[in-house]
Amino acid sequence: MPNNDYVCVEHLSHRFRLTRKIAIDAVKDVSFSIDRGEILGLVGESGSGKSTVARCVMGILRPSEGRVMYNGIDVNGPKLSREDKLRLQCERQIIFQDSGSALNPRMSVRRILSEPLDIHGLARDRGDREKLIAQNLDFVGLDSGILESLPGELSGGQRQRVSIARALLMKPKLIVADEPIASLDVSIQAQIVNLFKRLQAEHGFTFLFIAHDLAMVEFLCDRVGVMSKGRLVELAPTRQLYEAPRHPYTKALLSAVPIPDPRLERSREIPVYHEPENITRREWIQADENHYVLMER
Amino acid sequence: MSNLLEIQNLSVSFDTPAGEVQAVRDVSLSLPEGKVLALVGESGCGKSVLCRSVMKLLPRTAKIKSGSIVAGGVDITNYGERDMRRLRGSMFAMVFQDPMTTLNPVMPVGDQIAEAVRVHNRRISRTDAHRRAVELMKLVGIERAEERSRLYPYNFSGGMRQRSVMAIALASNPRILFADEPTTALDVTIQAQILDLFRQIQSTLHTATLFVTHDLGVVARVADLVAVMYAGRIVELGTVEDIFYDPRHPYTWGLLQALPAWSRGRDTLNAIPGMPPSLIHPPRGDAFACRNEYALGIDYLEQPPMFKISQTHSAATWLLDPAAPKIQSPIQGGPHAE
Ligand SMILES: Nc1ncnc2c1ncn2[C@@H]1O[C@H](COP(=O)(O)OP(=O)(O)OP(=O)(O)O)[C@@H](O)[C@H]1O
Ligand SMILES: Nc1ncnc2c1ncn2[C@@H]1O[C@H](COP(=O)(O)OP(=O)(O)OP(=O)(O)O)[C@@H](O)[C@H]1O
Ligand SMILES: [Mg+2]
Ligand SMILES: [Mg+2]
Repeated sequence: MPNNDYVCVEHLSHRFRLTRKIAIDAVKDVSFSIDRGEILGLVGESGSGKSTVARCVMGILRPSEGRVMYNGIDVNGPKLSREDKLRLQCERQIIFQDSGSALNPRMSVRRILSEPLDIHGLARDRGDREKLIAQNLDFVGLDSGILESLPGELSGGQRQRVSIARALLMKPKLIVADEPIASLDVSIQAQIVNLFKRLQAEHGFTFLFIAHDLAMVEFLCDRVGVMSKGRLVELAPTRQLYEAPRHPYTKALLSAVPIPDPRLERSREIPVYHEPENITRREWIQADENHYVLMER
Repeated sequence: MSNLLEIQNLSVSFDTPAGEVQAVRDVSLSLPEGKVLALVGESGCGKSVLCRSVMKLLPRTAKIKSGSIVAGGVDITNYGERDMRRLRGSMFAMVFQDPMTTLNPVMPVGDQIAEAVRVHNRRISRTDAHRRAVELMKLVGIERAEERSRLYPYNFSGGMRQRSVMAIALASNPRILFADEPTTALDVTIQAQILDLFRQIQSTLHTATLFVTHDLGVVARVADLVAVMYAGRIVELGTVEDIFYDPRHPYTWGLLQALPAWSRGRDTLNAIPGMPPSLIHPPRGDAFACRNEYALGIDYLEQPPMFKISQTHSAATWLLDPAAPKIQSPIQGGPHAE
């Protein structure tokens, strides 16, 4: 069935096999889509499968069941044409939370940023390249002075910004960002979230944004999905989700957001969410316009 | 109340081909028993280097240029690796951001904690080490500890993993705990539980904690004291109330205003304009001056001293000089006051 969704995740499940006997069902029957130019947030419990979804969307992991469509291309399709493969490679970029630590420790920042341009034959002219690199470093609040540094000589947040700059350099159409700003301080987070918003408005790129910081998600995203224990439990436009959450896990999550006010924050009891036992039926129902929730009984 | 850790006028630099990186500049800090001190500040301002320099876990290119470090009443400034190894087992422990990098994926969690117990107490028997491991798991709030001690990290939720990491850190009975963004990778419900665990450990074990974070919501929940760092220096120091309800340094104002709560209903967040200065040739005067809309002429010329505001509160900004113009803090009244 052809449709206009830019990214379409259909009944995605992923199982990690650890040993012959042990397997983890990390993602269970998750479906959602992202429109072209939309920023979709994905939040939820630690270990609920958000990163696994992100990796499946990028084709880093192969789904055990279901599929991921990117602009009409089956990301894990068996017979992709060369052209489709190249598009998947150039048009999608992923930023991991700790992608800074995945930078090659022996490469200078300059080489780290030049390499993807080399591979795809972009900005061949030296002057253009310098300008492009400087511009993208500036985007993420770094000074060209760090170009000759090695990753080990940078702080955690500086490394993270180098990898954000590297992803942006490719002018991707889809960015999958898996906690891209968690390791940055508030002011730089603000700067990068502003940047994402601006780039989104100017270039209309599509965005899957995974984060634990619900205030940032509220600020940045058009719609938000909530995951718990491998399942998508709620999906709604941001305003609606924050103002009228339906699923008990979403409610617990939203009420746990720390308030930057010590007297208020310390006097609060944070509710603990317990999944109901013996769930026999699960149903994905529409609670409101564009607002979906998983009913569990 | 005694100070478990006293850092005085500490300066730490790295030798790099581009020049000397002055990562920590003239930092003085004391950490009392049973308290959590939150260290906040811009990425790259020297928070991790400060922790690592106390634990002497810096690369060889780093040098302590000046200052002193006194831990548990003993001057350890000139301690070598052998002395430090002993101290790291008994005096200090560290908790990092990502539990998965600390835990061994193919070893039962209980065995990993027991191993940590044995590293610090070689004479203990295997059974006793295991018993102690289960005790520690209970201490950090892992239910059904005996049973779970035989499970592997992947059987644990993110919260239980971070609790296990805490148990490993506590295995050596440390008196001073360094926590470098220990909850950044956790969702907010688990984060709240872990923060409460930190506070509970504080009050039962009387450890002192240096807690590095950039999340001011986390600071509000966990910290007794707060040190705000900028470009290698501490620019404001106070109780958590001082910092949230009566901040004095323009950089602290900027940090608080960058919170999304301050931008409700607007299109952009309040980022502090500009970039932090290079630490290779830090500027003369106040390093924050060129980004500070309240900067005075003198800020560009002379480093402000720490002005004492109260017994607990001090800040390094010329705005506190008696001769400076009186400036109303933009933070007054909180984000919701208009
Ligand atoms: N490579 C792997 N091998 C085995 N199990 C894995 C692997 N990666 C993830 N898992 C497991 O799959 C589940 C989902 O993990 P995932 O990393 O997708 O969660 P997450 O929502 O991103 O969590 P977090 O918020 O902590 O990043 C977890 O139980 C995790 O332990
Ligand atoms: N091995 C090194 N060689 C040279 N410079 C270094 C080295 N390690 C750190 N630095 C520099 O020292 C400064 C302080 O780094 P540090 O890691 O303490 O920052 P941080 O405050 O912990 O930041 P973040 O919040 O991003 O983790 C940074 O500017 C960094 O570039
Ligand atoms: Mg993840
Ligand atoms: Mg750090």
